[in-house]
Amino acid sequence: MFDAPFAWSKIAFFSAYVIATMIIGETFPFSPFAMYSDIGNRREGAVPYARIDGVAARLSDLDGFAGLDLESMRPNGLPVSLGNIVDQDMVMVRSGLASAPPPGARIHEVEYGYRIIKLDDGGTFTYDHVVRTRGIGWKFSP
Amino acid sequence: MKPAPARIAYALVSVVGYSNALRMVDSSGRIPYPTGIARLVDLGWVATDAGKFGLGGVVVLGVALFAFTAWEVLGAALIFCGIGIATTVGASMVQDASGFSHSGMLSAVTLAGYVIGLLRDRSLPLLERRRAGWELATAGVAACYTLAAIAKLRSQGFAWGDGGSMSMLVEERRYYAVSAVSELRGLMATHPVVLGALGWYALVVELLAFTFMFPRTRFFFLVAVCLMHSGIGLLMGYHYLDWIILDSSIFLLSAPDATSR
Repeated sequence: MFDAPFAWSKIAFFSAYVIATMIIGETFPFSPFAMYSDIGNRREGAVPYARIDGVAARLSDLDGFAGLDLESMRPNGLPVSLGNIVDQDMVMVRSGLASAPPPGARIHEVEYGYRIIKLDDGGTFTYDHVVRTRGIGWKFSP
Repeated sequence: MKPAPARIAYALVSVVGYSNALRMVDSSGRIPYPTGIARLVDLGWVATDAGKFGLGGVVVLGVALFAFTAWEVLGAALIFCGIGIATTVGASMVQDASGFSHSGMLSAVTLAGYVIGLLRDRSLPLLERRRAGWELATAGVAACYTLAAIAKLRSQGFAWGDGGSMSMLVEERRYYAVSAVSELRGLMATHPVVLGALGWYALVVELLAFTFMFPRTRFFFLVAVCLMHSGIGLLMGYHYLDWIILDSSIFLLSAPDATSR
């Protein structure tokens, strides 16, 4: 295995990058790639959800929003591991916020909250939910 | 020298990595790969979305130089800097930034290894110099996966294989999948032993990443890591198709008998 071409150059580059990263940490172009290492002993989770007219849906199904409180959409202490989804939802709402819908738009009721999931010692999941904010939404075209 | 298809694929993927880094920075989310690749022919994208930091065109230029010309060092530098700026400087400029983005990191690390290897001995013919470059790029791949394994061990030791923790992760992600995949995730979430075994598989594969540096074992690691990424994508929704393409491209480009690199 070690009679491969450029073996010592490769080992040197490999070692240098690993050691440098462990010293420097998360600074481009160095990264410990620790994104999923901290799973922890999680027995509780929270998943963001949206409902449109009472039906599970995605906020991307609508173009404009009113009445939704952006700060209430944040996890604020809930054990959320899908923070990127929350970020994306907030960006979507922020970019579509308006004081009122355009004339003639069909209005939908929008609800945003979190699905609370708990795992007991027997391996069974139980579910609950918490509503964080309500408002209205619409699409620009039918 | 006519560019190898794998070289073109490697360069194109770095653009998707750059664009995803940009969108993770401003929390607008990752873009689907077909969209990302389709955007390569849309100059409007260069001017608007990826051009937010005025870098989109620079990165695309870098890709063209790297893939099709002898100005590959300049091309690599443009790609590297574009990814670096989108990853770091952009994060400090944008409201509600998601923080450090890992999209494009493998491209950046392997590009650095490639350039170092390329410039190592300028007396060699171009094909041999490029082979040296891709060989060093394999070390970049090995280093990235090894660091991920070290991070897991430092965080939780060998408790990483605890199926219960994996169960919650998989259960949470069943709500963001098509129905068949959602059902699979829901089923797997109630089988922590299986999930624990898959977690161990991922850890072992990453600890063996150093084998990618050596031609005799390179193919086996490639297969193992592709299976790992496929499983992660299926069960957890984290799609690292760009890493699969990069690993596969480097495998092909570093092959001893390759006639084009």
